[in-house]
Amino acid sequence: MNPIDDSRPTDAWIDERLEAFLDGDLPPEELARMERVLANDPTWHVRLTLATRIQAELRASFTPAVPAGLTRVILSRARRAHRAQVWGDWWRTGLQTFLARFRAAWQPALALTSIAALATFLYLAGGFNASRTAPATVPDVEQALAEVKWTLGYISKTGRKTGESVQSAIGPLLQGSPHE
Amino acid sequence: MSNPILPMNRPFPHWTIVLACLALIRPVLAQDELSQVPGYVDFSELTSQFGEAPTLEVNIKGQLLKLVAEASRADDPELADLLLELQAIQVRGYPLRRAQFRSMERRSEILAGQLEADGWETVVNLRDFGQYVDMYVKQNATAIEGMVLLVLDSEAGETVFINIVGNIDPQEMGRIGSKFTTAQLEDITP
Repeated sequence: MNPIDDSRPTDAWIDERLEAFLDGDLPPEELARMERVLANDPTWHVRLTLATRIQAELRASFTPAVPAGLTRVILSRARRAHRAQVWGDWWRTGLQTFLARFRAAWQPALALTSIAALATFLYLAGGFNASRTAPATVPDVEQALAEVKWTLGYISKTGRKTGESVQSAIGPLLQGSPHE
Repeated sequence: MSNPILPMNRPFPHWTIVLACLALIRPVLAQDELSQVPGYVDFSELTSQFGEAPTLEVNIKGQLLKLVAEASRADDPELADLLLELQAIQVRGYPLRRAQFRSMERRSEILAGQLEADGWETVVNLRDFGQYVDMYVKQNATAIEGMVLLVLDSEAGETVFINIVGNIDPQEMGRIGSKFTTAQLEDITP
């Protein structure tokens, strides 16, 4: 049991709940406390009487009516905002559903596109010789054999010509040597 | 609606992307492996140095070289055995006009300097009127791993660069090469 319930509440506590007491909106335990205070405290009894009179006069005073046109405008805008929110939610939901549904197809398609782009880049950049990496055909091998023979023949010919040049250069020197 | 090939709930197998990339990279890596061989010379910069595309280009390596070796076995077993010892044959040929001889000579000297800096040993340096011949070899402790021949011939109007990669016997190569006559050479030269 809360010991505070038995003690006299503070003025601030009473003041905060006075209007709710008049409107009948206090919970039962707070209502009981308020009734004990108001019954035993003349100062608060006077203030309660004053608050009751003020509330009665306010309720009896003129209540302005909202112009009908203003009501229509406000309701129209509220409906429009509601519709926009509904459409917006629909689009967002639909787009998310679309993306989620086709992500399984997009990922491999994107991956394959990336691989194709990489292969194209490597080929254009000369990363590998496509004509040689393809399986060699018989004409390829025959051509390569001819090229090999040419190369070896050229090396041999160059060696002979070089040897001849060396011989012709040092020949006279050897002819003039003492042991000749 | 479910995809019969790729069920929606199964993620795309990422390992297939990795394998596809490796399949593409493998040919590039093969070229990189050859570039690591000591007897190999990268001729790719020649085009930029000479300012024009080669009129003669030979690139025989790998599986093609093996196929050529076997194709020659019936007619020339010695040639087949020689080719099986090799890893690559590269040739670049450029036209040479008399007026260009000096400039071509300077460019060839730059290449020769690079070879010497890379540990290639000079076998021949011939400077004759209108003739420039350099031959270099790359050796290990037991064998020749590569050979480079640089030729400028103003009389023939040609500049030729040759790189042979592999286990080379120069005498054997010269002897076997001597069997190929001028007629065969003319069939292939432009």
